[in-house]
Amino acid sequence: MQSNHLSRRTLLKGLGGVTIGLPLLEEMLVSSASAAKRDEVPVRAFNVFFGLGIPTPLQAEGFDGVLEPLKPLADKLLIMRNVDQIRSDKPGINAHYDGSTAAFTAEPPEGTARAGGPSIDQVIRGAHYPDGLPGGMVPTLVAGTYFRRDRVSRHTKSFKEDGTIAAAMQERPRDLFNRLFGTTSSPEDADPRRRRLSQSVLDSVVQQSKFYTGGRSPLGKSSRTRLEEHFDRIREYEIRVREQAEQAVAKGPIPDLPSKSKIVHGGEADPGGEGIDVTLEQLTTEWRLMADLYAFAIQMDRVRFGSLTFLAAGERIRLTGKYEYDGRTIFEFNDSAQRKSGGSNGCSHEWWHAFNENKKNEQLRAHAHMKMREVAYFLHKLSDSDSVEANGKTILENSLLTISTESGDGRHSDVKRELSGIFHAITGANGRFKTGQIMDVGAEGIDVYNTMLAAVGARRRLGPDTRDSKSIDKIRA
Amino acid sequence: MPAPGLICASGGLRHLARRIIAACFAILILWSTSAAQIRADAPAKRKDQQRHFADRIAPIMVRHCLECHGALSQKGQLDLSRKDLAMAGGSSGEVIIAGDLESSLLWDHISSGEMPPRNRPRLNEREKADLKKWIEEGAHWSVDRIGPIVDLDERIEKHKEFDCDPQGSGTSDPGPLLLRRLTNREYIETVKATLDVDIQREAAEILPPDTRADGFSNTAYNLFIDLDNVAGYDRLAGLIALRMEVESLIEEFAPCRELSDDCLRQVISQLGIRVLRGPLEQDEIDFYLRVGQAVKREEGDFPEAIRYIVQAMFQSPRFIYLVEDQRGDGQVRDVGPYERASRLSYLVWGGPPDDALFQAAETGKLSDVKQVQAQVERMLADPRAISRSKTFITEWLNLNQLDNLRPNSERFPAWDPQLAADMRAETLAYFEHVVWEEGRPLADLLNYPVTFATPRLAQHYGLPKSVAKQQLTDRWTANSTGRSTRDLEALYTFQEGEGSIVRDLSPFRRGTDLEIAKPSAVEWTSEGLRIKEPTVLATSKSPEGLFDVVRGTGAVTLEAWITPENKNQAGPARILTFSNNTSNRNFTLGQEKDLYDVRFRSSGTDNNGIPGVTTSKPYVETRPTHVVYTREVNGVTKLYIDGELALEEKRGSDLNNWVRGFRLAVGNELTGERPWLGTLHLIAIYSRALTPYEVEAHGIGLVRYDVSEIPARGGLLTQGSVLTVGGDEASMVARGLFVLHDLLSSGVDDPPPCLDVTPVESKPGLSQRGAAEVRLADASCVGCHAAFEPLAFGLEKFDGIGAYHDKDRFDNQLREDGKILIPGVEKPIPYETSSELMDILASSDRIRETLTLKLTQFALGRPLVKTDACHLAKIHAAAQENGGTYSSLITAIATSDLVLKTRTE
Repeated sequence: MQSNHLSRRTLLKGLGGVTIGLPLLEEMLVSSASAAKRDEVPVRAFNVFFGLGIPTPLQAEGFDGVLEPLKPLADKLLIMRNVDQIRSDKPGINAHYDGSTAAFTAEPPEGTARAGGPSIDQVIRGAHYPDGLPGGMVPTLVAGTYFRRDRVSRHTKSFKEDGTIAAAMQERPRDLFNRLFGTTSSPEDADPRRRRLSQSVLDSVVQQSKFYTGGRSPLGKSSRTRLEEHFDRIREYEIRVREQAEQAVAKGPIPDLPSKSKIVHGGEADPGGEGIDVTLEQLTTEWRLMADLYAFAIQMDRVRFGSLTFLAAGERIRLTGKYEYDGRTIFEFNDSAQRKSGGSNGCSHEWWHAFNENKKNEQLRAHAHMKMREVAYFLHKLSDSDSVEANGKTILENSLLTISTESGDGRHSDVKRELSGIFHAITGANGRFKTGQIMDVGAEGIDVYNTMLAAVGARRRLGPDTRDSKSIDKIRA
Repeated sequence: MPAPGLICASGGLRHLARRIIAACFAILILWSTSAAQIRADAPAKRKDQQRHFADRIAPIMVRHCLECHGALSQKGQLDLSRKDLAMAGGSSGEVIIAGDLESSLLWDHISSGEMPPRNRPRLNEREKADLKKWIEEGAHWSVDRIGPIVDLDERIEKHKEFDCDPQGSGTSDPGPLLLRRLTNREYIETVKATLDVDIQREAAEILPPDTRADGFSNTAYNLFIDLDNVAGYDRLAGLIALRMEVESLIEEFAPCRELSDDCLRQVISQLGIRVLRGPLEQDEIDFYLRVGQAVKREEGDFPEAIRYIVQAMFQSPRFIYLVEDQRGDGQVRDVGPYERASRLSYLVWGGPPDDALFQAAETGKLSDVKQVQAQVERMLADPRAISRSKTFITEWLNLNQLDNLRPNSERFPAWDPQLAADMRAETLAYFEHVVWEEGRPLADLLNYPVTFATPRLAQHYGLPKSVAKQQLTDRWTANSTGRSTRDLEALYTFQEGEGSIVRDLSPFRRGTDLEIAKPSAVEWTSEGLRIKEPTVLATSKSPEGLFDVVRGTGAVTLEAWITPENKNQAGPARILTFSNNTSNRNFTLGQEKDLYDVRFRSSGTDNNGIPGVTTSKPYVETRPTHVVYTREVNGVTKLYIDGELALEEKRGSDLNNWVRGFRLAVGNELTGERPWLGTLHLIAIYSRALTPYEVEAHGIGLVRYDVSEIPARGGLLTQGSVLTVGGDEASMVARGLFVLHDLLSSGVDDPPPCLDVTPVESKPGLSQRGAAEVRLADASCVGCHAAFEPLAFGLEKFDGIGAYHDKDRFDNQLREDGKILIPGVEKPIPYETSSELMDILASSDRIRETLTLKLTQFALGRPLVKTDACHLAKIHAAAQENGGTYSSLITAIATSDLVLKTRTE
């Protein structure tokens, strides 16, 4: 598929079925109190996850192999090899799941919907915005295009301090759009009297939330902390209502939603672990719309922290379609036919189970290459002319984007091998990290992550307090 | 000792659930430690030793030893999972010599590095020190048996106390403090119970769905809040305030009726107890007072003020969460009376306290266990308790997953969503019958010899009609459980019981409520709505959505469960009509004396839908009758009466001549000229033609079958809803692990290195059992697979979607014999048939314990932790003493300190 680069203005005019009222939305966002001052470069951190991983031997091939789509971005990335997540292994649990939950947390899971600790984006968020993000911003944006969903941590990649998910997953472009810019009021709220009374109700809700999270609350500390999240959402909602009311008065109707998804979602997307059929066109069309919207939200300074997932951990799809890159045909996907099986056995997942470094691994390579192409698509969005910031660098260069996955080897037959050498790439975070290299790091993920946290000014360290942290200085600029 | 890697490749094998189960099992294994015994008899040192065993040694054995030297794999004839067997030793003699480190082979092997084997994690220095200390100090066991607990050390670190009364102070630890949000289901039920406002349909559309965590969707840590929730609560609160009967509320709660601060305070105070489930503090009253004051400033009236106050209350954290007073001195104390009332009501009903519970709270009659027990007994007699129990079984067995299954259509052409719905309905009806109607112990769910099937499911299972015993009486109500919801555009069940509005209950599309023009002309009965005099039930405006979707698809189903009042009414008398007057319609289902008649406008008819279709035989009887009209895209129309195809004709296929703007009406033409009298039980409209199977299922519904003479059926594991966990291949691995994890609360470790993990498919000469036997004959596989695959041997004759065969698709003979080793039991138990397997499982203590664990977790809304162990022991003992029924278990949970007490901060 050709690169389909679109400017912010083009996006606003309508992309992939999105119909957005250009003047209104642009006005709304640019005038938002949440927007960063134009001469500042805000701290941002995002986790980009892709499912199933890249076997370690293939990473060694550099840009000549499946990493080829990252080559145009090479000077903006530090690609790290030999990063291990073995400490995340939980006996009795599939190591893919351990690795998936450990991506961006470096700790073993605590439940089917709970990581062992916070993810790096949330630690950085806490360090830089201890009192919350500027009003009107989405505190954490979690989105993705994926199908496998029997456990939340397969796809959701931002976790709070207690390991619970940091925000609800937005899995449809329409949902993502709503989360970012969505409507809150019904048309009758245009009546000024009703609006004033509704505001008094909302004021009361805010006051109640303050009360239950404040010093006179009947709740204990952990419960108050939990309720503070609720309070934050109420404050965000309050701003959203106000924003919208102002826009309604000033500009008229609210923007249209993106068109409905063409691929399945919800429980239908994961029929008992047996996998689904999907074409490359369907998959990439939806993903790119998600990537566009997510990137747009970053450009608009609507969001500074969160995660974006392209295919879940242990993803099960039977992909079909011609895969082309840079004007040449890479592969003709037809998982079920090539696997000579349907159901779970016919899914691309099995190419990872069957990986053998002494063989061609043609199908696995094609899938992994395609994933890199799609990850690169998102990264390019933050590297275009609309993404240039006050310091002359792009958002991609100024932010900390961590790209990772679940496994360094697809075979469920050696935990150590599975959780070793897991692909990682990071951006420079405004000059904090080296870029333009493929580095043999040879370190534990937890030390790499803690080094990253230290570099961006977060004091919190992942892992047990008693653990001696090792700084991986060679990744720092 | 390695095991094959098939675990990982078998399709959604719940590895993490296994971990949770393993954690629960950690609790389970501690049951045999009697907290009371510790309190009363044990000297402090012995107590410390027992705690050392539970906290340190058992987890070491679980993590490092039991995979090879446990109940499931006794390498060297050594089983370290049971105290007696461990102390007896193995083929090399005794391995643990109490107080004699040097002579203990266990220590020798570990300290020398010989054990654990090289491909397994080693003991760290602290673990070695703990083990050394344990042997030196006498190798005291605090339990009779331990199991494959996985990674408990972190939990142990967090919850050091393990007995009910760690300080010996007479207080017990009721577990971590929680702030649990209401699930969506609880929220809907709470609104309904509090204000008699039904927002089920809107809440399903507006609120983000709750997701499962650790096996249940009410797990507190995963009930998070995002912007969509906040916005949804706002919208729903507005709807609730609009729909509630404000005058009734004022009458009940307002001692005055003016917008003065004093009066408003009184009303808020009274109302708050009901809506927010307990007395309000002054600050809280003030929040709502300001809302009332705002209405006053806007020159509103008293009812309007109440509406806005209610709107604010329904968005309060105190409404949305189960808020409790957690303040204190860090000690454990009794839960307050109102909080106790809420804990009980959400536990038993999944909804708020009723008047009796509030009154008991107010008058201090929930203070002792006997009073609580009496309340629980009363509550268990309420239908809400049954509904709640069905939520439990749905979650435990993940029945909602049935909606998503899509087996390979070439291999399983019989599968469609209706069959899945039938399977789900079967399990729920079976559960209700065994647990509530028969009052059997919960473990009987594994082998009770009845089942419930629609005609199609019975055919799928091969159940002979001779064993059909009883058709469920309320067919239109009962089969709503298994009713197809795909493309359902409107559904009226006439269960409101009062009022002048009939709600459209269709789940996916905003339908249209019907208003009864003359309420005095109707009578609400237990069977629906009887129209005794001419009137009409009609939408207030044209249902544009219905118009668009039916005209767009060109297909429709009009379904009615009715009892005509007589055989004389004519016109035709309108049962269901989408029309304007007597000569202009889109469709009408009617009665023409003793015939049923349908007029459906299309390119082949005039504006009046003529020519219509009319039954040729006198089908009308004054008894409940199931009338279904279907129209396919190509114009083929069918009319079914009580499942019988009464006519089939072809009409024009084009609906372009449909007219927008008509209203939907029931019981008459909108002009009032074609009245129909009789009882309405159910009316549904679909935007597709139901299949004959669906028509049959909706009409006949579930039938009870006595399967005592059909050995292959009887028990949850023989039902399609559970058998489908094996996927298309009916995987032994997947099914075996399901039994091991979800019924036996056990688990196995990761597969070892260097194995081919590709799933093995059946082929000529190799059935799934055959593939399993190959694995079990492999020394590298048997260690783990022996633990779970034999649990599914008895299920081999059931294919991927639960049909029963003697041979598979490759003509391989299938088997159902085997032997199973239940964790904690010394020897494997042989069985010849699946029926015997079910009997073994049903009589297993392990199953009973698992049910206690699962239901307690669900009741508390959180994963179990180690401090729960002694409470669980008490709960389990009390429940079993009282028959092991659902009611006895719920009562035991409700009267335990886990519910009656709380920590404080």
